Amino acid sequence: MLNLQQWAYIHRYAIRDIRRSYKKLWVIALTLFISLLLLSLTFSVKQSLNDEIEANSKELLGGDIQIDSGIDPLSGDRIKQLSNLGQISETVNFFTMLSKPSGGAVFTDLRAVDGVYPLYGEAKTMPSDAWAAFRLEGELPVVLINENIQNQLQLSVGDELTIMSKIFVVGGVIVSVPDLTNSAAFGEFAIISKQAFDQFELTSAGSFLHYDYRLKTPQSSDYQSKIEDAQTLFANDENVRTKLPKDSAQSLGRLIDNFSNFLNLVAVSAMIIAGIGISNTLLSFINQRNTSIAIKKSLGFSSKTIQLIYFYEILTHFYWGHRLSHFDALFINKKMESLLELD
Amino acid sequence: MHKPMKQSVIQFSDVRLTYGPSSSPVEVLKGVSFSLNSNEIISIVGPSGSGKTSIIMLAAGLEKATSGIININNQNITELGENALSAIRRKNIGIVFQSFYLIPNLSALENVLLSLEADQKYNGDEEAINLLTEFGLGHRIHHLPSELSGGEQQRVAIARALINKPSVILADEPTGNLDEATSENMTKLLFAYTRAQQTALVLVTHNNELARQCDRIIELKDGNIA
Repeated sequence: MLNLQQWAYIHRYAIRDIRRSYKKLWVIALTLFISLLLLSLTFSVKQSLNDEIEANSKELLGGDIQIDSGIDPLSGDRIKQLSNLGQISETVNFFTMLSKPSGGAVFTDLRAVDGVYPLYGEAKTMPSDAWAAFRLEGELPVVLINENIQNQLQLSVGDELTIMSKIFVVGGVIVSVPDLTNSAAFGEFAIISKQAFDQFELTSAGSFLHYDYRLKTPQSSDYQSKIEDAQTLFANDENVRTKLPKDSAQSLGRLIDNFSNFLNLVAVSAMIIAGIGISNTLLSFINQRNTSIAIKKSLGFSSKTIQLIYFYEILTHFYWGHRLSHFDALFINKKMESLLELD
Repeated sequence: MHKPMKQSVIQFSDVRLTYGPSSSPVEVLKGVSFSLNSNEIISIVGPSGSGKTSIIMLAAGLEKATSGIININNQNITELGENALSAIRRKNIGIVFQSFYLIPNLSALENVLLSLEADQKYNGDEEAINLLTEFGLGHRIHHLPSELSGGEQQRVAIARALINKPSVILADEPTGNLDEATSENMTKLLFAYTRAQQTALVLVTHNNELARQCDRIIELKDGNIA
């Protein structure tokens, strides 16, 4: 068993050796630092994204619970029962052609939203007052389009668009809507009012219609029991599916997980490659010290003391490599958050 | 009047050393026997490959004899384990190599202190500085080996071997890498200090002149004492 004095000596010797051999050791330190940084960065980015999703799960869903009734709307009785639990927002999605009277059409995911949409978060448009104007409805019903439609059809605010032979006027461009996961994030999409949808009887889209309802419970109410009540309402209805914020977060979380699994794979591959590099470097670290080890043996140092000196040196490298890369990963993550303007 | 009893520091009894596979063994030592008394200086001479360095390695416990008995201060070291051999080395033996073998990133002083530190003596700075000063290296104590001449490096190596006051110094061609003048000074230094400290000295050398200055010469030929 080594006494305190011997440990102090091992520490002193190892630190002195590192200090005087840093020119030979920087490759080890760098390899270690990069591989650990990559791994720490992956985990910290993944954690940060998941936390963000978790914190905004209600906005991602657009309500405390989403009720998906498929091609048929909910009956008046069910809507009444639901409205006893809180505020309801109704949306209808369907695919249709948006065409410009002067020529040109785009196949679009059209969403008809009611006056209280969105229940959580806010829709952002360009110009910024387009959403408010969309609510008012003028002589002609308004359609909000995404940027791709604007570019493809060369549209400006005030231009006319035909949807199922009804004339709409372009009110603005949608920048973002809160329930992103439920919109066609990778396709074209546009928003019209539920009032215009009903007025023009666009229900003729038939089986392509998709009805969604979102419920926002009053803040003072018992959230959990209201949600359970809403779920109980549709427990025996095979055509209705309910979805909670955590499900929405999970579905987006799965996307993030897949991305971070890919990052993990990259990091682990880098670690394996770096591991081979590290083991070779450590081998060369020991080989460089073969003479020193032999001299110490000839002077009567015990094998244990010699092993501990070099083990301590290697551990010191790992410790500082890990500390530095971990803090750097946190720093980079914070920087990335501020660059991406995540709140 | 009684003569003081001379204690045997090293005793080799029928020591054999064989390398290689049993089908074609290389016999380096073929039953060597000799003893070295305290305060005695002997030289081991012989042509290259006759087994001179092997005797040093065996006496230091850095190699294991194939057969025979090796006693260091009346303790048979042939049966000892690694840790016990390390203890024998740090308490009884000082080694000086032809190539000096100083640790390159330690200063002259730190190299000398290593011998004390191996024996868990961590406050020997003053002693080491005094010894290096006596060896004419007072102004070089903080220099790295790469900043010292060959003669200075060998003086550091000798100081390192002597600082622990071992009972025997094993010197393997200590002047082999030095010029004639430096070599002579080095020998004088080594002889003077081993005599002063009453330390025995085994000197492996090719230099017959140097060998003749020793109390006794052991000549090796083909693994046997001639």
